[in-house]
Amino acid sequence: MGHRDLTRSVPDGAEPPDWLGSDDPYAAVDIERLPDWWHDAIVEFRAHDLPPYQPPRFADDVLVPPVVSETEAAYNTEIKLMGVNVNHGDAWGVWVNGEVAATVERERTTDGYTLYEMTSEEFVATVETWVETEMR
Amino acid sequence: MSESPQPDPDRANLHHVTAADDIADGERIIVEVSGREIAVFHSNGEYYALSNYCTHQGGPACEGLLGGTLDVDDDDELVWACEDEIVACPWHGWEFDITDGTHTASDEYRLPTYDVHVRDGDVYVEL
Repeated sequence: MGHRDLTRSVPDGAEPPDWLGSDDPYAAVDIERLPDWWHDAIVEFRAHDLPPYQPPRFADDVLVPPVVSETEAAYNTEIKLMGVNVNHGDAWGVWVNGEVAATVERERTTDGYTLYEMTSEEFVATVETWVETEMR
Repeated sequence: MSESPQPDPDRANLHHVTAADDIADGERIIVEVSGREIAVFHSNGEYYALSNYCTHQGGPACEGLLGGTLDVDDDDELVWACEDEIVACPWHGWEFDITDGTHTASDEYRLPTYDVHVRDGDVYVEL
């Protein structure tokens, strides 16, 4: 379909910076320089005295939001990581244009971020396969 | 929940979640929006959206049991109340009122909440 091969590269800003692993990850970070989605989450978490915000990650440690955004743009689709009527421990769905393209196991780590048991390459490949099959 | 006035889905802070029919009364959907997990509950005919991060230790607060709580009525009798409006974090059992995000035992803690809009059969949350 002529799309750029997203499975072979990680989008800009999707590699977790080294400082993210510390107990107070934003102590020496100017959060105004972070992307809006990241900045806004930090501000919200601080306002509610939540533990420091940690972005969700794929199994290969790549941050989820930039990959989802870039994949949506590349394939002109709406992508959701979503659990419908789920309980703790249930798998979620990778929803593409309102349909479940795949299921994905996930957990909230003790560090406070969600870890999806799917690599970023597998995620992009899942969307690509769905698009080529369903939108042909 | 807001059904009037109609939200403008082009507004940057309005995020499509799913079709309203996908969330039956008494059920919930949890979705990642802009890097944050947001639970949308359909309870007793209303929609409520809360952050899925517990104020205690960051656990998945909205993935636990959904039920009610004991309250005291006008005659000082214990009564069961708020059915399908109290969610318990599966990590340590902290309970929150899904209608306003407040902790059931302390005003000190409150989950972030979001406005929910329903338009033309679709559910949107406002961040």
